[in-house]
Amino acid sequence: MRDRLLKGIMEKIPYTKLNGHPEKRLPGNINVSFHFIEGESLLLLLDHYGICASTGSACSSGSLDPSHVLMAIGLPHEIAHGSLRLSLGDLNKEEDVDYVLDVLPQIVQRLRDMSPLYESFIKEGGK
Amino acid sequence: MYSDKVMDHFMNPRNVGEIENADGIGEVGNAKCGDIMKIYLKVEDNRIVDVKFKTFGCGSAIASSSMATELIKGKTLEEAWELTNVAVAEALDGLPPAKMHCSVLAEQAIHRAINDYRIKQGLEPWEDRFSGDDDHHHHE
Repeated sequence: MRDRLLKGIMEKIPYTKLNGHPEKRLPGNINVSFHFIEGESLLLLLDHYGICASTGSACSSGSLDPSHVLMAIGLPHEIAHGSLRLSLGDLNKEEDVDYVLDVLPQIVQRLRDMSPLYESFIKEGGK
Repeated sequence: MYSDKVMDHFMNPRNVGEIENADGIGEVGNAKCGDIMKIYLKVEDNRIVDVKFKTFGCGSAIASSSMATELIKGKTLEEAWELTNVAVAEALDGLPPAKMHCSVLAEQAIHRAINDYRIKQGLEPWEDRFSGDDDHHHHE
C-alpha cells in the first residue's frame, strides 16, 4: 500500500523528491519534498481535507526551522521546507491511498500557483 | 492556532497572481527562512488601482499577503506606505507570536514595491524603519 501511494505521488506530482532510501525504510513511511512550496501551508490544506500528515518544519512545535535530519542529509533549505511525511498504519485502507492521490496533487498545484519560486522556475523555462 | 480570519484568507486568498508590466514590484524574504513574498502594484495618479501577490510560505504568510493587499487596494501611495505590520495582524484578528514576522514581511514587501515604483519614476526612494536591515527578519 505504501509503495502504491509513493509511486502515485511520484508519478502525479512533478518536481517531487523522495527523502531517504526507496526500499530501506520503515514499512508505512513516506517522506517526500515538493519543490517550490512550504510545508506548513501544505499541512493546513491537507488537514482541511481530512488528511493527517507531518512536516519537517514543525511549525506548531514552536520551531520554524526545517527538519535537521533533512538538512543533515544535504537538502537545501527551500526543499527541506517543502517536506511531507505520510505514515500508513494498519487501519488505513486502499481507499485512503486513492483519496490522498486524488487530493494531494491538487493541493500541491494550488500552492505552487501561489509561489513566486514556481513562477520564476516556469519563467526560466522549467530548468 | 490561527484565527478564523487567518484561515479564511489562507483558504481563500484575495489578489493572488501577478500583474503584467507592473508599475512596482517588491520581493522580500528568503527560502532559508521559509517565506518569500512578492507584491505587484499597478499605479495610476498616485493611487494603487490594482495589487497582486505571490507568496511561498506558511499559512500566516499567505494570509498576511492577502490581507495586506486588500488593505492597500485603492489607497494612495502615501496611505499604503503607512500600513504597519501590526495593522495587518490586527485586521487578521491576531497572529501567533512566532508568526508576527509574516506581517512584517507584508509591510516590507509593500514598501519595496512602492520604492521600486518611485525609482522607476525617477523619484527618491522613501526610507522606512527597516532601512539597512536588508531582507532580514528575526525568529524569536
